[in-house]
Amino acid sequence: MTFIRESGLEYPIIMSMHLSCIAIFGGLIVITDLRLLGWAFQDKSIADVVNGVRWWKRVGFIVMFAMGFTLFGSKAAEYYPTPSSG
Amino acid sequence: MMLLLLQTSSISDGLNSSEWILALTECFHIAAFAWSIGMIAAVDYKLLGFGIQHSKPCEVLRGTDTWTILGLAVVLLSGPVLFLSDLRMYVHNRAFVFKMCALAAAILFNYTIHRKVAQSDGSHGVRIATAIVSLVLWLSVVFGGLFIAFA
Repeated sequence: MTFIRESGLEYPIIMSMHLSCIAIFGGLIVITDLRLLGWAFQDKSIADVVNGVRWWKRVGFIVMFAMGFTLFGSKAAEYYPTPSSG
Repeated sequence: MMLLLLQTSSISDGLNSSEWILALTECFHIAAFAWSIGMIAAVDYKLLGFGIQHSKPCEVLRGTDTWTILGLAVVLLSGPVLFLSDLRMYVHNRAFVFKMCALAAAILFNYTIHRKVAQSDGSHGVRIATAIVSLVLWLSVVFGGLFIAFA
């Protein structure tokens, strides 16, 4: 973890991957929510939308969580007292 | 000179006078990016052959189009606010220049080739290539944006 904290490129690369996962997989949660609200994909059943993106959301969550945990671990003492991290 | 004038303008001063204005603007900027890229990625997944069941790429495009534009509008409105807050840093930041180039290319690609391929019944190879280019362009924007703080 110290290696990541003290590196020049690894930390921002991992952080970029963390944010990318939030974007390209988190957006699928928004799509599911929009369908549940009836604001998008009204011609598709809820099951079609939810089942179609379920595995992608799971993959995204695992990668995002792994990257997030790595980032947290590399600067745990700095993140811990921050209200938005808890 | 123009940059200096903008940097010292009342707009810039106002933005920098409150830490909350910039923090909130940045939150909206990042959330809107995630929102838009997620919508575009849903079309890309469909072009790759995954994603929402029993639907065509053109249907996914139609379902996400308005929401994508809404997200991009928030991105394009909040971005200049952040830019004006520290203009001199941004114009000399290589990551920012890269992000702007990637963003321009991504938007251009999204509303030309990407849209045309999603709406047509193109070959499987063309669809896959389009989806990969689209995802790479949008991820480049994310990487460029994040590297601004580290460049």
